[in-house]
Formats: sequence, C-alpha cells, structure tokens
Amino acid sequence: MTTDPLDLTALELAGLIERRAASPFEVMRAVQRRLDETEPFLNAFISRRDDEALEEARAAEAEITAGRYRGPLHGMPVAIKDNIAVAGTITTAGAKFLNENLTPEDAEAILRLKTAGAIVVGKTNMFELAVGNRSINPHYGDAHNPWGANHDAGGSSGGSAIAVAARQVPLALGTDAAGSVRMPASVSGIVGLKQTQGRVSVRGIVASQNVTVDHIGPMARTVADAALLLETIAGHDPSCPTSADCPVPTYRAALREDLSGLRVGVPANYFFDLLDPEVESGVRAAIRVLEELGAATQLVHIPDLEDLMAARTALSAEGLALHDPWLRAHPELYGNELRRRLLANYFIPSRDLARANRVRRILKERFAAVFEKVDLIAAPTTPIVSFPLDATTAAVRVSKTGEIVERPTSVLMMRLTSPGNVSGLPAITVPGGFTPAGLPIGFQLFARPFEEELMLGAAHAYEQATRWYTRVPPHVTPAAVTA
Amino acid sequence: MEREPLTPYFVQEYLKRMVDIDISLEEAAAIIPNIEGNRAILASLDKFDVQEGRPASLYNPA
Repeated sequence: MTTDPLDLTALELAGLIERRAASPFEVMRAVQRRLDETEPFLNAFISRRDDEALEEARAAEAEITAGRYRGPLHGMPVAIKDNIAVAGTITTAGAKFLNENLTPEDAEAILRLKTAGAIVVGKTNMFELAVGNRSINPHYGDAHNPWGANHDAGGSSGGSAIAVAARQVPLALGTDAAGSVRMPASVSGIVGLKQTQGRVSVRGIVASQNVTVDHIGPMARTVADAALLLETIAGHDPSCPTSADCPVPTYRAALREDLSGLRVGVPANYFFDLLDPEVESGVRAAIRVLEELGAATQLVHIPDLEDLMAARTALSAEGLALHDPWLRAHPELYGNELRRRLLANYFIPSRDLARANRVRRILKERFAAVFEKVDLIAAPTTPIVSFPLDATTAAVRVSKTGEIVERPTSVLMMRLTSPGNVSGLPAITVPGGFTPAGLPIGFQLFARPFEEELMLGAAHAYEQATRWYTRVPPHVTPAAVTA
Repeated sequence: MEREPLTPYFVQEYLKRMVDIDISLEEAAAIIPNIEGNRAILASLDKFDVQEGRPASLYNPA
C-alpha cells in the first residue's frame, strides 16, 4: 500500500480494501487528517460526520474481515453535496434558513450508496440553493479551488469538486440542473457525470430553480470511478416521478481504449462560438486525440440552439413552487442577488413556461437528428477556466469576428452544459489539459439518451491516453498555500 | 408595439396583489433589470412553432 491512500483512485483503493491490504478505519482516519489540514483554506465542507463515519468504517472493516465483502464501495469514503438528504444530517442546501433542516431519511441515491457499503464523510459546500455556478456562499463561506489560490471552483457543486480534486475523498455526489456537476468538475480538473434524465432518482434532493431538469451526478478523479458510482446509484425508483424503469448496465464493462468505428460530431455552431482561446485550443487537441484513438469526427450543426436555449430561462419559473413559501416567510435570509432573481421569476408569463416546454421537445428532436449521423458530440464543458473569486466577468473570443469580449461569468459558465439539462441527454466532462497558467480545461461528451456506455467508453479511452488525472493540484496543503 | 417601461411601483403592487409578497420600492427597482433581462431572452422563443398538438411529455427520446 502507498503511504497515502488518498492518492489512489477509488477502484485502486477498493482493490486494497478487498484484499484487506487497507483498513477502512485507517482510510477514514486519513480522510479526516486531510480534512483537518486542508479545510481551513479550501472550505469544501459545510458539515462533517467524523464520529459516525469512523464508527461506520470500523463496522465495515469488521464485516469485511468476517468475509462479508459487499463490493468496491464497501468502506469507501464519499462526500455528498449539502442539498442531498443524508439521514440524521442537517441539509442546508447552502441556505441560511435551512441551517436546522434535519433530514430524517436518506435520498434514494444515498440509500443505494449505503447499501453498497459507502460511508458519508460529510456534506459539501455549494452555491446558495444550487442556483448559481460559482463556489461562493454568503452564509457558509467561499470554497476555494485547489488549482489556483483564491480561485473559484465553479458551482453549484463546488465543494464536491474541490473534495475530489484536492484528494480529500475519492468520490463525491453533486447535483446538476444547468451543469452544476460538470461546471465545477471542469474548472477543478476532475470527472463529472450527468447521466440521462431519469436514470438516477432525484428523490431526496432540495431541488434548484429548474426542478424538472435537475439530476444527481457522480464526481470522481477517473471515468472508471464515475462509472462505478453511476452503476451503484442508478435504477428505477417508483417513488420518484421522473425515474426511468429500465435496466442498469455494468458501466465499467463498457470502458475501452480503442475507438475504432466510433463517430464523433464536432459542433459547427454554438459550442465553439464564444470561448477562451486557451480552452478552444485544449479541446481541439482533445478531439485530435479521439481521432488518434480511431474515432471518425465530422462537423455537425444543431439548428437554432442559441434561441432554443431561451427555454431554460422560462423553466426558471418552476423553482417558485419550491421557493414561494420561503420567499414569503424569510425573504431577508436569501442573499440579495438570489432573492431578486427569484422574485423576477414571478414575472415570467405562464405562456412562456408553456412555450418553453414545447421548445424542449423541439430541442430534443434537433439533437436526435444529429445523433442519427454520429454516436457522440464533443465540445468544451465550460467556455472559461477557473477565475479569481472576486471576478464577475471573463474574456472570451467571438469566433465569427475574432474579437475578445468580456462577458459575465454567470452566463458563460453554464452556456455549454445546460443544453444537456434542457434536452435530458447524458453528458460527461473529463480533464482536457491545462492552460499555461496551470488551470484545468474541461472536455465534454454528449450521447444519445440511455447510451452512457458509449460516452463512458470514449471518455475513458481519452483519459487513459492523456492521463491528465494524475496531476496533483498545487494548493492541497497549507504549506503549498503559504509558499 | 412599444411597451411602457416597468416601474418600481408596478413591480411592488404586482407582487403584493398577485402573490402576497411585500417588498420595498427600492427592492422593486432592483428587480427590474432581472425582469427585463428575462423578457429579452424569452423573446427568442417567438420564432418557434409551438401551436401543434404534441406536448413535450409525448416525446420519448429513447
């Protein structure tokens, strides 16, 4: 065993635990030591379950020693975004007024994780109520990206992304209603997965603004680890109205290294229209790697995508079903910016919400037409890389004119991920290289509904060819930050 | 047709009368840019034909 189990991927660590070469109890103690060292400057967690987690790790160890090994998640530490219910924990969703919200039951995904033997380390920091794509939080403090001092880790699942990137834990769950798993994963240099809508039950989450496009999604250092997490939490939940009743494959069996015969579409519009030139360069290079691995690429056009995405704005009104009672009772407890955005949603006409739902179908049909020609679509995940916590705009190049313009980070960050939410398509982000300043670039793949296997297979092949995931962020120890 | 600009008073009254939320005129004024921003984006939906009968729920992408 290496000196630090947290340098291992989840599957590597699982192998040691299965062979009893690593002790779940000692692994959990290592996690807690890492948290003690790094949390003062990363602030990835809102709450920790130190005593309970150690107790559960001891019990897992006893079970394994007694020959009752449950599988690769047995004794595995996981971090959970603080808008997902874990029985007996406070689930704040990053909001001040939920700081006493004791959740008595597990979300379905947590139940499945626990059944597999995973141990919840704690609840991770997030943008207030998951309605923003930054790692800032006015109530629980900002969470810091380990790749850059005082840099944003993206959101809203920023804490989960940091926890995995900084090797506090091997695995985490986030939620994704406009890219909130993939955006922070992209700018934090890890894998983030949003499977097909309905593949994973969302029962037990404090939903964000866009209720019908929300997902729980795996976050990990490698595609194989994300696949392991997905096959554990996926499956039909009769108590979740959007849950799909279809068989769950063993996703890890789909991982491959040769992409011969795979057809990959490269969007000619929208996805490359407004990008940081360093992101474009990284993603174009990533696409060339897919070609070297045997994939055939072709340009594809998704008509009207820019206008179709206006549907997302109308869908924001859905969130009022959740927020309305809180807005009446505790308006002063929301951050100013968030409260004003939510109040503005009362002025979205029902006509536009109805139109948006029709437009969603048109969007799905446009993507379906593209997927008749290709198996996957390759694109950047976020148009920009991580930026300083106090920045509100970032520079991007307009592809048509070559002009460099400043745009709000809040608009840029979700531009390329939210089509996956409005369409329901599965999408994954993997580390796609680094800028000269050492900040991670995210590379995204979309697939047809319920064809996660193809997507995971290609992402794994790319990851193994480039091995970006082996890089360690510089700001994971207090000494590194001081230096 | 040119729309009259929204006023803080209208925003305050609308929220009060329609959804029982009381806010100050200052807060109402601060909300107006969000409302106008949403309106501008939602105008993009005008170009799509949404008159036909198939609702989104009938579309099965699988």
